[in-house]
Amino acid sequence: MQMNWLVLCGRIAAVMLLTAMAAQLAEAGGHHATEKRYFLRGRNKSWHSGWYNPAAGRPVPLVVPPTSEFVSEYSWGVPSSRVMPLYQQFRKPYPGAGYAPGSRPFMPTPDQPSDTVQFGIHAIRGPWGSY
Amino acid sequence: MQIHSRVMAGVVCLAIFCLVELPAADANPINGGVEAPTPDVFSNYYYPAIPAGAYPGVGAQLYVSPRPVPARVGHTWITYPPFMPHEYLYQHRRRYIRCSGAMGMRNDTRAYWW
Repeated sequence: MQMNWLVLCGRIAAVMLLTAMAAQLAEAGGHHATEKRYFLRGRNKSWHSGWYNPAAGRPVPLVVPPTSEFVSEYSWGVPSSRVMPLYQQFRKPYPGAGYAPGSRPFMPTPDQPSDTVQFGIHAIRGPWGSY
Repeated sequence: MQIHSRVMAGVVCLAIFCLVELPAADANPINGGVEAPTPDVFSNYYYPAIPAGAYPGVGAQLYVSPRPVPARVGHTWITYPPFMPHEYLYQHRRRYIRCSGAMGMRNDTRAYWW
């Protein structure tokens, strides 16, 4: 009888564990530890490079799904491609002025670009829903 | 002895339940984005400007409107947040819960994107 109770309790615990894991997988806000790590590492990093898009006159943000983790960038020469973590994400609170002192002037896309960052289009992850 | 073992089994189950379920409910009050707070329809999504340092940069906003304006002038807002285009970028679901009425009734709206 005691053995049966132990087996039953074990099964209940296993079902609880599986349910909790499934709930964690189905949530919309991403994995908590990953989200926190991406937020902390992307805090003081700008979303653009030193080039601007000539058609827009400024760097253009490219909105990608918030589930994105990396961006691929390509160039001539060696290395011809690189995979970079994508920390930047749009958020809700109004951050203040759009320009901060100390920003460097941008360069236009060269006539013969040698790297995809020179096109001035950079990915920012979309927000997680309404916050 | 029989009752004691049952009580012990119940305590073990309760402890496992507390370890598995309660921290998730306490650590994230918005339930991983499924139960979202009432959306602020008067604000936009931004990426802040970074001041001088290792990675200086300008800010960016997700939509062209709404923009921050003084409270006494005309303004724009988002009429229905579930239809915002960034919600269609990934598969998820959400519950919008808000109080409706003075008698404690509440409006529970479920949205699915897939």
